[in-house]
Amino acid sequence: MIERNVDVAIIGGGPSGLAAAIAAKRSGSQNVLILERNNFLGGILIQCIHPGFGMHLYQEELTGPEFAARLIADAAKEGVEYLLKAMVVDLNDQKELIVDSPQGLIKIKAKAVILAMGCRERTRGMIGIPGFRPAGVFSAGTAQNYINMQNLQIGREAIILGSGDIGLIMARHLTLEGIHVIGVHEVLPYCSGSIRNRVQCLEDFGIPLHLSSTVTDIHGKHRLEAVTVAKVDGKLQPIAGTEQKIACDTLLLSVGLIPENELARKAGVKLSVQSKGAEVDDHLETSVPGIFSCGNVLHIHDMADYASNEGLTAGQKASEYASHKTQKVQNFSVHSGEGIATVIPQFVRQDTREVEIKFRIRKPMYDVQLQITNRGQPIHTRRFQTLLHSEMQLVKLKSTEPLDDLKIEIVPISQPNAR
Amino acid sequence: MTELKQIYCILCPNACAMAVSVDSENKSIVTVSNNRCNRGPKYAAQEILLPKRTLITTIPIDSQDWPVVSVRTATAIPKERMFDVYNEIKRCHLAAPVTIGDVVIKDVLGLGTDVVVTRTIR
Repeated sequence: MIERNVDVAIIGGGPSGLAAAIAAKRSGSQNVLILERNNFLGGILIQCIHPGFGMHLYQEELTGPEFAARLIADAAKEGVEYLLKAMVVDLNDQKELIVDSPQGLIKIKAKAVILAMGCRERTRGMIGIPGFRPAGVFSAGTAQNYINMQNLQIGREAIILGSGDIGLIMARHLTLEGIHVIGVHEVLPYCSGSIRNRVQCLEDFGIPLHLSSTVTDIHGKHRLEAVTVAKVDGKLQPIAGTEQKIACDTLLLSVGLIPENELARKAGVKLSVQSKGAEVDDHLETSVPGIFSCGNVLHIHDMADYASNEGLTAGQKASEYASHKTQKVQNFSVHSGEGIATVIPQFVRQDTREVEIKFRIRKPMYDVQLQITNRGQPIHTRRFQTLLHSEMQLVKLKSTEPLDDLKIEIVPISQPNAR
Repeated sequence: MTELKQIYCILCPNACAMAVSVDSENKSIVTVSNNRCNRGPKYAAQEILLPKRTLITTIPIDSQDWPVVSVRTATAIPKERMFDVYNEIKRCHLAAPVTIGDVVIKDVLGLGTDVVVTRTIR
C-alpha cells in the first residue's frame, strides 16, 4: 500500500472542499490534498447549470459550473493537489485515511483533516410512499444529473413532491426542456423554498403549487402511470376522501437533504441530532482534535456561497492546527432556545471573543425578535418582520468577556411599533 | 385604464407583496404600495415594463467525456422571448474542446446578448 503524509487532507472536492483547500494553502500549509471520489472537481455545482452562485464570493451572478471553475482556478493557482476517483473508505481519530484510488489503496497520514463530503437526497423509502416501484420516480438531483449532464429525456408528464429550492428549480428546468409539470405538492402548509425561486420558477411558468398536499400512492408496474395525491391535516396525515389520481409518467422527489457522515462516524466524530452533521466549535473543529467539518456535510446550506465561506474558515483553522499555531481547547456550549431548529457552531472556544453564529428556525415567523444573551445579559437583538425557515440566518457577535453562556432564542415582539 | 397587479419583490427575504397599479395604455406605473423599502418600486417597474431572466440549457457536444455542455445567455433576456431563444439554442451542436465563455450564438435573435458556454470540456 502506498503511504503518504500531508498537512491537510480534504475529503470532497465540491464548493466547500475547494474553498477549504484554497484557504489552507493561503494560511501557509505546504501539502494540501483534496480527495474526490468523482472523476471531476466541483461536486454538485457542475449539474446546477442555473445562475444564482458566486454573489458573495465573487460579487457576480454565476452559474454552478462557472462558480466551480473559479474555485478550481483559484485552487490551482495556490498549488492545491487533488486526486480524482479517490474514495476515502476509512478514517480514524488519528487522522489516518485509507483511500481507494486508481493507483490502488493509499494510506494517508494527515496533520489535519477537513470533512467536506456534502449531502445526499432523502429518498422515497425515507418518506415511506407506498405503492408499486416502477421506473419514473426520481430524486430531483438525480433528474437534474440525467438532464443536465447525461442528456437523457426522463419523461413527459411530471409531478413534483416537495417545494424545496431544488424542487422549484427542477420545475422550471423541466418546463424549459419540454416536460410538462402538472404541479408541485408540498406536505407543509407553506413553501419550503425561497420566495425568489417560487416567483422565478413556478409563477413565471404558471406551475401550480399545492400546499398541505402529498403523494399517497404510486401506480404502474413497469413505468409510472399515475400517482394519488391527497390533502393533509394539521398533523400532516392524509385526509380520507380528498384523494385524487393524477396520470403522469414522472415523479420528482425534493424532500430534503441529509449530510453524508459515514466517515465522520467511523472516526468517532460526535454528530448533532438537530443538524445531522458534526458538532463543531467556532473553528469548525469537531469533537475529534484536528478533524474539521464544513459545507453541507456539517449542516444543510441554502446557498453554495455560504458552504464555500464555511470552507474558507475550516481551511484556515485546519491549517493553523496542522502547523501547531492553535490546538483544541475547552469549549462552552451554545444553547438554543425557543424556535431555533439548528445552530452552528454548537460550541465556542474559551479564548474566542468574536464568533459568527448560523441558525435556522423551525417554521416561518412574523414580527419576532432574535435575542442572544451571554450569562443572561442580552448582547444582540434584532427584529424581523419576516423570518423564514427556508433561509439560514447569520449573526456576528463580539464580546470582551468569554462567551461562556450563550443562548439564542426567538421571542415574539410584545408591543409592535405602530406603523 | 388602471390595472391593479400584485408583484412579489424578490430583492430580499422580506419578499414584500407589493400592490402595483399600472396604466395599461402606456404601460407605466401609477402607484406602488406595500413596499417596505425604496428598492421595491424600481423592481416593480422593471417587472411590469420588461421582465428579464437569464436562460440556461445544454447543447449536445461531440466529446469523449460528456454528451452535453451547459450554456447561458450572457445577460438576462426579456422573459417573453425565453422559449424563442431556447429553440434557437437547441439547433446548435458543438464539438470539444470548448472553453468557458466561448460564444455559441452572437447577439441571439438580435436581443443584444450572446449565448455562451459555461463549462470547459476538453
